[in-house]
Parts: sequence; C-alpha cells; structure tokens
Amino acid sequence: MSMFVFTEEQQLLRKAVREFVEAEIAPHAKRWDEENHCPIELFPELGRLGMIGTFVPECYGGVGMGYIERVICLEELARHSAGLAITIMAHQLCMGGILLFGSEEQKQKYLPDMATGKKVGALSLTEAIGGSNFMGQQSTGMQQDGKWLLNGRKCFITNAHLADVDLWTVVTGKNARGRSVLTAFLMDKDTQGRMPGRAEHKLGMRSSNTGDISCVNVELDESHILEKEGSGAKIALSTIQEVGRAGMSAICLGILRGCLEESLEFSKERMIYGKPLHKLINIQFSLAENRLDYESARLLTYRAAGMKDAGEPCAGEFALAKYAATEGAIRAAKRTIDLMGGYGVINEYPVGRFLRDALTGSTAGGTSDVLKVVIAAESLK
Amino acid sequence: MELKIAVCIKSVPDPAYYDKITIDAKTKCLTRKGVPSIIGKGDKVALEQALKLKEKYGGKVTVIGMAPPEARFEMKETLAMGADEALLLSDRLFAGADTLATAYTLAQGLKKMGSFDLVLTGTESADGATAQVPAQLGECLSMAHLWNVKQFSLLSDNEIQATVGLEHAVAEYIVCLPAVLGIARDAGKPRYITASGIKAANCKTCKVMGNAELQAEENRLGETGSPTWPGDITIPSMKRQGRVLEGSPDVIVEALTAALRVAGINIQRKAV
Amino acid sequence: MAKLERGSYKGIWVIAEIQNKSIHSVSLELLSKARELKQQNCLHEPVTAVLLGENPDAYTGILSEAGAEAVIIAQHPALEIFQNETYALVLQGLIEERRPAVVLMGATAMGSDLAPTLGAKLQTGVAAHCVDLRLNEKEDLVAVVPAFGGKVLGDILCPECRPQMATVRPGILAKPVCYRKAACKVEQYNPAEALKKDSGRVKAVSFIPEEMKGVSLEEAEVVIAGGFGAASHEMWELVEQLAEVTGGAVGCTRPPLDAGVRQRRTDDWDKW
Repeated sequence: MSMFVFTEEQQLLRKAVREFVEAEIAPHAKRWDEENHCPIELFPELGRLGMIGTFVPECYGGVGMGYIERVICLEELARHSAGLAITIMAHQLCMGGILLFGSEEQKQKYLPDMATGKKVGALSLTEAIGGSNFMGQQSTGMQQDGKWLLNGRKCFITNAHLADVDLWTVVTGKNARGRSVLTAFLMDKDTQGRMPGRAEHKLGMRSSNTGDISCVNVELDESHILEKEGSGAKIALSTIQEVGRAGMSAICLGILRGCLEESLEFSKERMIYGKPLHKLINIQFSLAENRLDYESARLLTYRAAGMKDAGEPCAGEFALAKYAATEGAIRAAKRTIDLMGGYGVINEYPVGRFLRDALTGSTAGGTSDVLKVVIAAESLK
Repeated sequence: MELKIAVCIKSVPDPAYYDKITIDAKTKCLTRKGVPSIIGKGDKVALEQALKLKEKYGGKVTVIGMAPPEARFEMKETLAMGADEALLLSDRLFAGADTLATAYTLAQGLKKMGSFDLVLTGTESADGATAQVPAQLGECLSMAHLWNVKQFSLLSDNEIQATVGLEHAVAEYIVCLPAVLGIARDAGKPRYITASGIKAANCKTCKVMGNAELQAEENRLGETGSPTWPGDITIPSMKRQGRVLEGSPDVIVEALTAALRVAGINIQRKAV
Repeated sequence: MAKLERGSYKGIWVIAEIQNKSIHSVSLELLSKARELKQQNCLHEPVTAVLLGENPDAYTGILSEAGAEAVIIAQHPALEIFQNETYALVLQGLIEERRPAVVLMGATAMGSDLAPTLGAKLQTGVAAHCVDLRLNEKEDLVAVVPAFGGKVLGDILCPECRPQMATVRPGILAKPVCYRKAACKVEQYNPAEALKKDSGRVKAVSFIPEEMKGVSLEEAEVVIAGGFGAASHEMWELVEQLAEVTGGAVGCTRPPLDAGVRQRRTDDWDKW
C-alpha cells in the first residue's frame, strides 16, 4: 500500500462491505446489544461475502486478500456492531494460529470451513490469573500412554460457547531456566472433557459471547498439537500481537468513525439558540478532536496492516495502532456523549453503546498499559 | 441454450447526498462537488435479473454504461457483482445527451459488442428518472421493448412472457427475442458483492470506448443529438405551512377537528 | 436528427387514456391545461384529444367538457389492451399526417412507456414526468421537470424538433375546467394501415386489475401524510386511522417508507 491511498480493489471492498453492513447489520445492532445476543447465525453469510476468511489464501477456502482488507472489513462491521466484529476477530485469531503454524493437514482440515463461516473458532489463552501474564498460566498437558491429557480452566474467552474449533495453550513442562514451556492444541467442540462454563455478562461488546471453558482430562493425540511441542508461547504471542491487535485496532477504528459520524450528524441537526449546534466553537473543538482521534488511529492501523502484508515485523506498530485506536475510541465516545448532552445518554442513540464497547475493547489483545510497555521496549531496542 | 444478455448501467449521484447538490447562481449549473457516484439501485435490480438468468441458462452478461471515465469504478463494481465484461462509452461528444441521444449511443455501443438476446435496464434512473431510455433503446435497436417489468420467464428459445406493472393493474405480454426490458425496481433484491467477486473482477475487462472507435454519427450524439434542451433550473421551496397545536390531548383533538372541519374535511365517526 | 420547419406544426394534442372504463383524470387535466395555453397564446388550432382503443366513442362528451375542441378516434380490436408498439405506430401515422406542434400525455404507466417510444419513432424530444407546462414568447413549449427526487426543477425545451412532447404527472395540474356544451368535432381515423407495420413482436395477453385499497393519492381530496415522527408501526396505525375517518388517502415522506411501516403500494411508482 502506498501509505495514503487505497487501491481500487480496496475501495470497492469497503463500499461493498459498507452496503451490506448498513442494510443487514446496522438495523439490528441495538437489539443484539440489548438482548446480549451474538448473531452467529450470520456467520455463513458473512463467510460467503468474504468478511471472515478475507486474509486466508484461496487454497484454504479464503478470499486470498491481505491484512489491509481484513482491517477494512472489521472497521466497516464495527462501525455499526463492534460486538459482531469482535466475534469475527476472535474467530480469526484461531484461524490465524492454524494458518501461521498449522500442518498442511490441519490447514486442510479446519480452514475451509472456518474461512467460509461454517465453523466458528476460539483462542483459549487467558486464565483467571490474567491474559497479560500468559506465561504464568496453569493449565497443563501431560503425556500418558502415548496421549496428551489436558486439564485447566480458561476465562474471558470470546466465542467460548459458540466455538466448533478451540485452540488451547497449556503448560507441558519447564525449560532449563525453570520457565514454563507452552504447547498449543486444537480441539473440536465435542471433545470428551471439554466444557464451556459460565457466560459473562459484559459492560460492552454485548453482541459477542465471552465465557469460561474447562478441560477435565481431555485426551488428545499428537495430531492435535499445533506446530510442535513447546511452540505454544510463540503461537500465542504472534497471534495476539499481529492478528489480535490488528483486529482490535480495526474494531476501535470502526467505533471511532461511528463517534465522528454521529457527532457530525447530531451537531448539524440539533438546533440551539436558533442555530445548528456546530456553530458553537466548543462543539467545533469536539468535532475536530473526534476527527483527529479517528484519523491518527486510522493511519497507524492501516500502516501496520500494510507492513504485515509486506511481511515486515510489525508488533510495535500494531501496539501503537491499538493504543491509539482503543484510547481514542474511549475518548471520542465520551466526548460525543458530552456533545450530545441529554441525548447522549439516551439509548435510542448508539453513542452510549460505543462507549461501552470501546471500554470493553481496550481489554482485549493487551491493555493500554501493556501496550505502552511494548511500545517502550520497541523504542528502546 | 446460452443467453447473451446486456445490462445498461447509469452512474448517478448518491441520493444520500442530494442535500449537497446546489445550483450555481451565475452559471445555473448544478454543482455535484463532494457527491459520490453510485450505480442506481434500479440498475442493480436489472443486473441481478441478468445474473439469475445466466445462472439458470448459462451464457454471458455484458454491462454497458455511458459516463465520464471515472465511472470505470462503477463498471468494475458490476464486474465484481458477477457481470462478465463491461463497456464504458466515454467521450466529450457524448456529454449533455438527452434520453434519445443516450439511447442512440448505448445502442451503437451494444451493436459494437455483438448481438444480444436480451437487453435489461432499470426502469428509471435514480437522478433524472425520466424512465424513457428503455423504450427508446428498444426503438434504436429495432427490438421489442417493455417497461416496468415485474417478472419474466423464457417461454422458448425466442419468446419471453413478462408481467408489466401498471397503475392498479398488471398486464401480461409475450415478447419475441431479442428484446429490451426495463426492469421494475421491485423485481428482486440485488445480491451483495463478495470479496471473491471483487478479486475475480480484476481478471475481467472493462473496455473504455470513445467515438473514435465507436464511430457513431456525430450529429446524433450528446448535446448536438438531443432534441430536448435544458433551460433554467430552480430549487423549489419545500416550506410547509406548519402549525403546532399545544395543550392537553383533549384540547389538541378539539382544535384539530375544528381545523379539519374548517378545511372542509368531514370526519366520520367510526362505529365502535 | 431531422430538423423540421417549425411553422408547419400547429396545435396542441392530448393523447387521452382510458383506465377502468373511464377517462383517466390526467387526460382531462391536460385538456384543460391545453385550452388554457391556447387561450393565453391566442393559438388557432383546436385543442385535440386522441383516443385509441376498442369502442372509445362513449368518451367524447367528457373529453369535450374538459376542453377538447376536436376528438380523433382510432378504433380497432388490436388496440383493446395497451401495447407500446401498436399504439406508437398508429400515433406516428397520425402525427406525421396532421403535424401537431405539441403532443401531451399523462405520466401514467401507459404514457411513460408510449411517449418515449413515439418520441424515438418521430425522432423528437420528450420531457418526462413534468409538473408544469407553458409556452414561451416563441410559442415553444417549456416543460418543467423535477430531478434528483424533486430537489431540483428544470425547464426542458425542444426548439428544433416537432412535435414537442411531454408527459405530465397525474394530480399536479389544476383540476379540469368544465366547458359545457362546447362544440366538438369528432373524427374517426382508420388505424388499419398503420397497424400493418406492426411486426407482432409484442403481444398483449391479459390485463389483470388489482384491488385498490383506500383512496388513490392523485384522486384524493384529503391526504393524511406522516413523516419522521410517524416512522413506527404504532404511529403509522394512527395515520391510517385518521385517513380512514376523513376519507382521505395516506402519503408519507421517506422515513416511514424506509422504516418499512408504510408498505410501498403498487401505485406508488411515480410519486415522490
């Protein structure tokens, strides 16, 4: 990507996705949020349209486009339903893990159905002890009679109750320095001993499903290991850093655009002192700040995605993008509520939902403080 | 049987941005600055019908449009939707065409692309909405034509039966192929464009053709070839005589019924 | 484009339309408008109504009352159900023979199809879906047409081709004036010769009237309209109820239509 210009293909993709989202997603987003409903029934259609397997190669049933195109799809979706977008994002984490580290056989087995939305994936990494401290996780995998025996409990897992394919990381030993060795396993929904637990009642992203999954004496053979024994930490890090953060940046970018567009529309329509609201200079400041938050997050996000497409290392760039997008979205949503006055807190308007979604989104894929540590480390290199 | 179908597409200003259209007080010209172009919804409905026919009978769908070169983007959109090839007629000579000159130009373009069994168009465009091009295109191509076709089916290799929407009525017609059908806006929801469709469009051709290649009669093109000439344009005042009634519901009802009676409207009490 | 001596084309014609066994109100509105234009501009030729169909004789009285000073009737079994090809061929023959300066039709389903077909056959201009008509100082027709969903009104002229044609939306011009016991010359025209040219490409099979619900918008004395505030099912129900008790038709702006509470009725295609 030349940094500031989208290709004709990318513009067309955005237009096509927007048309679909405005007609089929936007009218229902408020209800899904209120009813805590994840519209997983749309997955096959979203898959058919290419909004799920965007970056998956055609030979595995995907569209064969890149990360910029993935970000475009997620941004457009999240403009109206961040909850649905994060559902796809989490599913893509699982797909990304398989795509980057899976054997040819695993790719052929899982990706075609996942890329087309026929099957739903989850990445089960976080435990009660916290997501950032993933090396401290306590789930275990032990070898017994030529099989692996998995035990443990994961929490805050997006798609916990919906996933057909579940990517788990467990501790399978200690290295010479006494640090945990993680291994990643793929398991199907109905694997004996795998049990989704409680479903969370969240502040935001309410049209996504989040919950616990437990494994009690789950028996898996070698063929379920992703890449090889001991690759778990690498798999977790690279999916979270480059697939997860890219996705969360895109989603918050969608929320940011929602704030920008809602604030512009409201300030043109709302009359105050006999004039449109936007004639007031403090309102203009808010509009300018919304624009600035959106544009800066947009540039950072698409630059990072462009680097990913070019095969360059971009963990630091995605950390920057995610920080700017999530923090910007929280600021912009709050600012837009302030701009709208009483209307801002009325749920007829989507801005309250934007704020709840933005706050919730900042916790996924690394909190802002974790991102700052990453950014600092990248800068100090 | 394989069908050769052509679909005419018009690139129009997005109706969502109509409030941005202004008239330059001096030149009396419309300024469309900042108003994006889209394919009219009705044209997409026509394209959908063509794609469905192709899926059922096999064949080829060719899209044709007459617009400035920028409309290549809209033509590409039709390829992404599933059309096989596109032709954009673009030349300064075509500018300022009324419906007759437009129909003539499109007809010449279609003749250049080969022969067709069916030519589909939207019944009316989203901007001018004259609804005249389908009939005039039929006349220019010396083909049978119908207007506001709500549904149609092939009866045989060379006949179709079509249902045409009229006011409070429908009429059934049997039409010999080749024919031009103006497809009604409610004939069926157009499909969404898929990401794979967009990728596939990269391998399809969108030809841009000027009159040097088209070789149409210059005195029948554009402004020169248009019997109708535009005169003044105005923005009509849409101000309404608003009146807000205030008070308790009883008071409002009283005032409202009184106002209606004064206006000569007789309110019948409904049997409960 | 054939450029003609303007002077040899004289008078105003209205192509009248029979719907549901009576003359469509827009034909009468057009006749009164034509009389008004004739008087304002001191024209000599009689305002002429043309009526095609089977058994159209019964309608001459009402046409004359609305302003027709002459009626030309073309009677033939082939003209029983409207069909663009046959109707246009008959009218083409008549117009080329008699040379009217202005030919007007209602912008009904029939007129919107017939006018452009005829315009293309005659290679002249047609202004579509007009909301007003006048003659300028050169006695040229100035037709006012809406564009961009009514956002803009534009004048359309057809200075170099004859006849000058226009279709006008029903219910927009003033209600017809009543010219009682006016003299009216009725003439039968034999369409058989013109019909020989019909290639038979389009065959009308049947005509199926749809049941009308409530009062149609263009004939209604009272219109109850809902806007943004009525874009919910509960509110829309109230609008319908009010229309029922006032004996009025319902209308709406875009929001109720977009919200899907107001189902677009089949007769809504030409309204905005």
